[in-house]
Amino acid sequence: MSTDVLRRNNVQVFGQGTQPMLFAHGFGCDQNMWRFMTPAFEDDYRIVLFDYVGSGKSDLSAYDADRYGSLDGYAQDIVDIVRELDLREVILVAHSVSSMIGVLAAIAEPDRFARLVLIGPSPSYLNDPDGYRGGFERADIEGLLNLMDKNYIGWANTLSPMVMKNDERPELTKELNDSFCSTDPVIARQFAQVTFLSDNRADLAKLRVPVLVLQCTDDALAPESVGAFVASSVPDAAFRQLAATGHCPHMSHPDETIAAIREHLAAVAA
Amino acid sequence: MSAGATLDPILDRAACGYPSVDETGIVQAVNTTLADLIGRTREGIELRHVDHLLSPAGRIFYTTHLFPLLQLQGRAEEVYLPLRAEDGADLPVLVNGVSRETSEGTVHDLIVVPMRQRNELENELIAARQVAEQAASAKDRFLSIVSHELRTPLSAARGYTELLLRDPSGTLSDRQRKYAQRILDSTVYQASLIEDVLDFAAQHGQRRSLEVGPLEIEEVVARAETLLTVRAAEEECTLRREPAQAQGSLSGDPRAVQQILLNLGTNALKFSPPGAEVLLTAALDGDRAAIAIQDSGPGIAHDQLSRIFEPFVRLEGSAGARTEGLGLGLAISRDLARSMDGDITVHSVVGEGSRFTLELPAIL
Repeated sequence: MSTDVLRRNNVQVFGQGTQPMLFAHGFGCDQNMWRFMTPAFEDDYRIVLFDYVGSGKSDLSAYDADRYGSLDGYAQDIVDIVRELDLREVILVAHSVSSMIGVLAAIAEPDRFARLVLIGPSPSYLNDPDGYRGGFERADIEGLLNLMDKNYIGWANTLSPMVMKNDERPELTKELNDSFCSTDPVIARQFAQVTFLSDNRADLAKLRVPVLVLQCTDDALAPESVGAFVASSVPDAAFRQLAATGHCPHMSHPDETIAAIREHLAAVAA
Repeated sequence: MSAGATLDPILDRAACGYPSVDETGIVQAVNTTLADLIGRTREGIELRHVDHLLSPAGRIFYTTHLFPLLQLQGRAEEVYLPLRAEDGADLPVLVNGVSRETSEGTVHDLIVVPMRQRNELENELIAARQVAEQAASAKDRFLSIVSHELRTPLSAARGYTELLLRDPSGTLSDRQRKYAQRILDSTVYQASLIEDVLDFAAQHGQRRSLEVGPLEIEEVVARAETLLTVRAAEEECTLRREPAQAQGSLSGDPRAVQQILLNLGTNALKFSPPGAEVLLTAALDGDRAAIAIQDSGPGIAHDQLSRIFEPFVRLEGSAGARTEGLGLGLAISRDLARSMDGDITVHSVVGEGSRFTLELPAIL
């Protein structure tokens, strides 16, 4: 199984440091989304990137609808990778749905993780009659699934890999490969269901690994109250509000995001 | 760019909506066409977050798909998004976008085209596809569950009958032995029918991988003859193999080729009257190898010929023909032949007999 996991999840390892910094992408994208972040950390850490099975350049034939029918299956991908590379003291930087996937992985293997950095986490995207406001109603998620079906009608020429020329931004073409956030439509649809219909609020209290929550301003997917809920539910959590707006600060405001992570790591090391 | 930036009048009134969104999600400019489409004013949209233009589902998709694509790839095309109009209704649109560098960062210029009627049509398409997919998968699932359930008690019946027939103490009468043998034959036959169903369901779910390679034609025909001779004796027919006219090899999976020939041969014997002769021949026709099985049965009426390869179709109404079986053999055989770049053809004359031919690529 050894090389299988690394190939299955398209695992990439680089950097000069020894402590592993593992980056987990969110729904709709792949490890490419981290490329504005990793250069800042590769001198000091051992960077580990991967694609979940079903995303990016993972081995699509390894997709099993039962295993990936819950976030536990995705958490198992992370567990498989940290075991395979025998990683210890891992700093896991997780975006969006990966936050809860990372929490589940760290509950399963607490001894391997030093710290989780959760960017825009949400333990449940649905509003609950008990007063919890995840931000969405079930009908909204059904609308999303319909929207995905429509976009996948034209999948071949819509969201699939595109060849582009970008003379103005050569740094974009530098890493250009044939996989930008490309994914299998059927798998993406199931990932959407699992992502937006899971409720992992009860798992937060089980986490024994310290957490930094990075909360964006005006995040359409993870409102500030949700980030605050995560921070107050995890036993050992720090909360940092970013000026960055939106849901993807690592892509839109990488400098602020990098600085926030660095400052936090320096503070806890001191 | 400041809000209310003067747009070129052509762009402002163009036949498509135009929002320009910066990488923080703030709408920097929008044309009047878009504002009109959603029943708002330009001032009510500009310098606010793009989320305000989108339905909740649209917000998720924008955030998780469109934004990363524009940011990482620099462009996106034909993305379907529902906008949210002032009155709360969803407006389905198609979006194309490119990213542009400015002194203040990246800006995403989008073009928005309403697609109300196409949206309806696509909804129908998706619904129809879902119905078809569900029906197909329900059928396959049903077949495989039923077959598994049928197989389990059958193996018990078969096992115990075999034990009975061993009869170490010699207590069975001849008549009891004969009956037990018939029970055994029936269970073996029924098991083969169930295998057919499973094969069929499997082919329509996940096909067994074929190992296609060169096979000696002579050897293929000789093996089929051996297997079919036993069956011919049971049917009180004779099987004759014409001296091979085809030297050389064909390309196929050994197991699949035998399965097909066994099926075609068994059919031929089944439909032949007692005492009849079934002919097994092989020939080369250009770059195709053809192995044919000719019977002297009742033949197949012209209007039925096109249906016999359909699953669950059995020939009925022909005098003397026994209509046993599930009608899956030919469907499976032809699927197998075609997946080896071959085919099965049939020529039949009512009252004279039928000839089924398995064609496969010859290796010249």
